[in-house]
Amino acid sequence: MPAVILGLAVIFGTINPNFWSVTNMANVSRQMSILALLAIGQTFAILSGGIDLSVGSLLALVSVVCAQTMKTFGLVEGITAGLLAGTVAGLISGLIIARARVPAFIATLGMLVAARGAALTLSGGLPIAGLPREFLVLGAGYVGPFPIPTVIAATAFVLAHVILSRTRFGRYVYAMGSNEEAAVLSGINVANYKMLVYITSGLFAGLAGVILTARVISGQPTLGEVQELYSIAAVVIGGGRISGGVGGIGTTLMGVLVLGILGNGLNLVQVSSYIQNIVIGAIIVGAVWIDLARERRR
Amino acid sequence: MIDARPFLELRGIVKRFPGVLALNGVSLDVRAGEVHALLGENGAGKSTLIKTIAGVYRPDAGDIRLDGRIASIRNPHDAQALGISTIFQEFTLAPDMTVAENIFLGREPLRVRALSIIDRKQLIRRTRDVLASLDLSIDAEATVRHLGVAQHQMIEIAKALSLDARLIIMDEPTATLTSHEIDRLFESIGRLKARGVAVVYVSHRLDEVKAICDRATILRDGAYVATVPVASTTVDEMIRLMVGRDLKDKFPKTAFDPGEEVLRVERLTRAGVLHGISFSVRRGEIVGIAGLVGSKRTETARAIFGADPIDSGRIFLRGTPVKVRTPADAIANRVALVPEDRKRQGIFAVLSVRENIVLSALRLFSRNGILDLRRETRRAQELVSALRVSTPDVEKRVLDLSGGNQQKVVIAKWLNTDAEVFLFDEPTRGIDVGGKIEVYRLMGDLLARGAAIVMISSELPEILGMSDRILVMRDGRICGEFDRADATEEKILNCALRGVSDPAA
Amino acid sequence: MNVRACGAVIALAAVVMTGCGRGKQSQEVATGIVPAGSTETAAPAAVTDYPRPAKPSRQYRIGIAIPHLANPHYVGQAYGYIDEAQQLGAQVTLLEAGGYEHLDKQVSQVEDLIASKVDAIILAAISGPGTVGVVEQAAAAGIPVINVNVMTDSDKVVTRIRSDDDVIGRMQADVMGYQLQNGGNVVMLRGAPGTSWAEIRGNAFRKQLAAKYPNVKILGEQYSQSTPADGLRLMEDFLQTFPQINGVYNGADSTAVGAAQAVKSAGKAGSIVMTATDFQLDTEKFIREGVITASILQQPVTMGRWGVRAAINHLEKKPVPPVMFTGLMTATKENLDRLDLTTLRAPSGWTPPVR
Repeated sequence: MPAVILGLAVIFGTINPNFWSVTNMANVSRQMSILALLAIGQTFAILSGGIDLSVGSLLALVSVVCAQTMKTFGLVEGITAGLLAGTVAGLISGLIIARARVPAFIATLGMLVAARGAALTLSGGLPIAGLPREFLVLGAGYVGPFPIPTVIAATAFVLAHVILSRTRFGRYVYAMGSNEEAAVLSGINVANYKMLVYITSGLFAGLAGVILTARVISGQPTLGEVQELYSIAAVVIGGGRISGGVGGIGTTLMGVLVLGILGNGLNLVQVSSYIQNIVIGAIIVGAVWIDLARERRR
Repeated sequence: MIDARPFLELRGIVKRFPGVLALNGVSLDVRAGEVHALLGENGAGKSTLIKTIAGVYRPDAGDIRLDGRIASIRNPHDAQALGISTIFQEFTLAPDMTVAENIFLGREPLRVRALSIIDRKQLIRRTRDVLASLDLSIDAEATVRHLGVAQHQMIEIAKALSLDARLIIMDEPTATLTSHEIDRLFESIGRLKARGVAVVYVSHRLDEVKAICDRATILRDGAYVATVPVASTTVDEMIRLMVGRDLKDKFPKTAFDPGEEVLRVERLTRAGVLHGISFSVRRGEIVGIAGLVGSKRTETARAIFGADPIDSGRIFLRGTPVKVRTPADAIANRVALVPEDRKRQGIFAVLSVRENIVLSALRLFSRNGILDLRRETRRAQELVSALRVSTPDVEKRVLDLSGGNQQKVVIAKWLNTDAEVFLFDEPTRGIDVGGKIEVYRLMGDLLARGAAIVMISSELPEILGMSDRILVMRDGRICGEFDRADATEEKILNCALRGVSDPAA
Repeated sequence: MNVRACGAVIALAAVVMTGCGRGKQSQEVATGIVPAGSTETAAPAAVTDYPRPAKPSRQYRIGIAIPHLANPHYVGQAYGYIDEAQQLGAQVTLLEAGGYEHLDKQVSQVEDLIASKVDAIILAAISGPGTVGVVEQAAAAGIPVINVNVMTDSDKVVTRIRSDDDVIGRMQADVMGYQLQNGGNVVMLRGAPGTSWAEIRGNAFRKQLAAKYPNVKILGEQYSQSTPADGLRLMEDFLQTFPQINGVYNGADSTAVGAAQAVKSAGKAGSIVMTATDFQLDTEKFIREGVITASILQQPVTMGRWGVRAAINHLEKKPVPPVMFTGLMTATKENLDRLDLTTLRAPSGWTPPVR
C-alpha cells in the first residue's frame, strides 16, 4: 500500500510538477484532514463490527450548532458547542445500538437523516455568516510550515493509534469486531464499549465539523454530503475489513492518503470531478478485491 | 453387497500449500456399497484428501479414477456431476428455507422453464420420495431452522441421495449427535449400503468406526500408512497406526482427594428452560454432566456463568452466596466457561494467540491504562509452552491453528484469570485423539492446583473415563446422579432417555 | 384570468422594454458599468459595454472556479470565459465544484489554483461568507480575484460582475403585478439558499410587489437547489397546500422548468402566471407553450467575457471599475424568435473542455 501511494505521487508529480510544491502539499494535507478525522472515528466503528453512516450529516449539524453558538456567545463557546453536538449525536447513536440493540447500519442511517434534518431546521436552510475572523485561523492558518488542520489531524492519528493498540478499550474494540459473542463470554461489557465507540466517532466528527466550519468561516447546513461513504472507503481501501476485527489506524491512514492524493492529483491534471468519482469507485472495489484474494490464497 | 471392483481409486495424490506438504503420495480405493473409514490425527491430511475428492482442491500430482476411468474433477460441480457428494462438518443448509427447498436448491423442478417458475407440487413430492427412501419422518415443508441438528444431518444425506450420489463423504457426522440419533444415522447408512452407495466415513470416534465401517485407511502426516479391515483390527491397533506409537492412557485420570466445596447451585430455575437444578462441586473433582441434545446442559452452564439470566435459585461460591448477572461477575468470582462452539463463542479468530490469551485479564497487563505488550507476550509464551500449544509464535492468528490448539488457547485464556471453577462444554469436540489426551491432561493439572471442574459432554466414554461423579440431565432437570464406580453407559442412557435412574424400575 | 390576452399586452410592453434585445440599454432596465466611487445599484446613465482590450504581450494564466456546469447558464458563462481567453491569448483552468452543496470542494479548488500560481482567479462563489477565507488567501498571495455572477463577502475582490439582481427581482414583480391586476396569490421558489442572487432577487421581488402591487399577496416561499426535480417537488407541494395560486416566482429557471411540469400535470397551464430568470432550452419550450409567462434573461456569455477582460485589464495595470452589471432582456411568447442569443448561450454543440 505505501508503494501504491508513492507510485501515485510520482505519477502526478511528473504530469504536473506543481504537485510537489510546498503550497500544494500543504493544501492537500489541509484538505485531507477533514476526511482523516472522519476516517479515524469510522475506524473505531468498523473495527468493532459496526459502522457509522451518520458522520457526513454530523459535519453539517456540528457546523450549524457551532456557528449559531459562536454568533451568540463567542469563539470558545462555539467551538465547544460544536464538539459537544458531535459527541452527543454519537452518544444517541451508541445508545440505540448498544441498548436498544438496533443494528449499527440502521441506527446510524437514521441519525444520518435526522442530523441533516436538524441542521437544516436549526439554520432554516441558510448559511450562518458573521463569525469572528479569528476563527478562520483554525481552518486556514499555519503552525510553521504545517496547516493547523493537518497538525490537528496528525495528533488525532497518533492519539487514536495509541488508544486502539495500547489500551483496554482498543483491545475490546477488536475483540467485539472479531467475535461479539465470545467477547460477551469473556467478560467484556460489550454494551458499554459499543457506546464508547460511537461517542468516539461522534467526537471526531465534531472536531472535523468545527475545522470545516472554520475553513468556510460560516455555518453551512449542506456540508458533508457523501463524506461518510468516503470515510468508509478510506478504512476499507487501507485494508480494514468491513465485518470488523481487522484493520487499524495505520491502514486507515493509508486509505486517507490514497484518496487525498488521488483527489488532488486528478484536480491538478484537470480531470473532471465526475470522472474522479468513477476512479475512486474503481479503487475501492479493487483494493478490497486484492485484499480478499490475498486472504483466500492462504 | 460390496462390489470387489473399486468405484473410486486415488493413486499417488500430492497436494502442496504454501509452506506445507499436505498430501504426499496418498492412495485410497473405495468399493461400491462399502463404508470406508478415513482415520488420522488432526493435520494428517484427511480434510485435504476429502476436499480433493470433492473437487474443492485440485491435486498437484496423482490421479483419480472412477469405475476404472480417469476422472477430471476440476471443481465441486464436476464432483457432483460424477456422483460424489460431501457432507461437511459445517452444514450447508439454508436455515430459513424449507427441507424441500434445501434438498433441491439449485435444481428445483420448473413448471415454466423460461420464467424459472418452480413446480411446488413436484418439489414436495420428490422430496417426500427421497425422505421415504431413507425411512425418515421429516416434514418436507418444515423450515430447517426449526429442526434439530440430527435432522439437519439427515437432510444432508437425503440431499446427497437426491443427487444420485454414488459416493457420499461424511466428515465427522456424529459430532453433534447423541447416541440415540447416531443409531438412526447408522440405519440410514445401512440403507445406503444396500443401494450400492459407497460411503467415506471420516471420524475420530473409533468405536463408531468399529460399529459401522468395513475397511479403514489410515493417514499420518500427509502420508498413506495402511488400509485395514475393521472387523479384525482393534481400536488400539488403529490408534497405533494413526499416532505411530502406543497410547496406553486414553483417559489419563488421577484421582484426587476432593477438597472443600467450591461451587454449589441450588434450585436454579428459568421458566421453560431450567427446572430446579441443584448440585455441588468440590476442589479436585470433575463432575460430568451427560444428557441428550436438548437436555439444557449448556443452558445450565451459561446460567451459572451469568451469560443467561435466571428466574430463581442461588449460586454459592466457596460457601458464599453470589449474584452472577453477567459473565464479568462470574469472572470476578473466579469462574470460567469454555464454550461449546469454539468458532462462534470461544475464539477471536482474526486476532493473535497472544491477544486471545490475555483478553479476559487485561487489567494485569496494563500500566497507567497503557497495555504492556512485552508483558503480554511473555505471559502468552509461558502459557503456550505450558499447554503445549503447537504454534510457531504467539502472533499467529488463532484462525490458523488446528481445532485442538484453538481449544488450548481458550483454556489458556482462563488460566490467566485465576479461575477456580471451570465449566467445560464439550471440551474435546472436533479434536483428534492426541489432542484430546492433552486436554484431559490439562484438566488433571487444573485439578492438581485445586480447581473444580464441571464437564458437559456427549461422548459417553469421555464422561465415564474422566468424571468423579456424573449427573444426567433431561429436559432441564437432573434426573440421575452416579458415582464413578457405579456408572455404566446403560444406566446413563436410560436416565437420559427415560428420566429414570434405575433401569430395573 | 386569461393570461393569454394579457400576454399580448405584455408582449407589447416587452418590445418596448427591450428594443432589439442586443444586450444594450433599454428604457426600463438598468444595466451598465458603475464607475469607481458610485453607489452599487446602476444608474441608467452608466456606460453599458465593456470592450475587449488589446491582446496583451504575454500569456496570462487564469484560474476559474464555478459552482457547476449542470445548466446552460454556467455553460454559457464557461463559453464566455474560454472564447474570450482564446481571443486574448490567455490560458484558462476551469474548475467546477459539482453543485452548490459542495462549498468545501470549491474552497479546495481555489486553494489548488493559488498553489498553481495562476495570475488571476475568477470566482463564481458558492457562498458569500464561505469563500472569504480563500479570497483573502489569494489576495495575500498577490493573485487578484474577480467575482462573476455570485459574490463573495469580501472587499479584497477586484471587481464584481453580474446582473443587477435587484433589477431582475423588480422586473419579475412588474410582470407579475401587471398580469395579476386584480390581485392574486403568489408563491416563490427562491433557488439556492445562501447565494447572493437568490437573496437579492427574491427580496427585490417582494419589495416591488409590496410597493407597487399591494393586492398581490405572497403565500409562501421555499429555497432549494436549482434543479428541475426540486422545482417539481416544491410546486407540487405548493399546489397541495394552497388551493388558489395565481402566480409563481422563480429565482432561477431550473426550478421553473420543474414547476412548469407540475403546473401542466395539474392542468393549470395558462391559468397561473409564472416568471423566471434565464433561458435554458426547456424554459424556452415552456414559454412557447404559454406555461411560463416571461423570463428575465441574463447574459452569461457576456459575464464570462467581461470577467476575462477585467482580469487582463487588471493584470495590465489598467483601472477596473469595481462593479459591472451585464444587460438584461425579457423573453415572452411574442418576442422569442427575435432575441439575439449570442450573449446568452454557448454555440450549439459546444461543450466545456472538462476531460
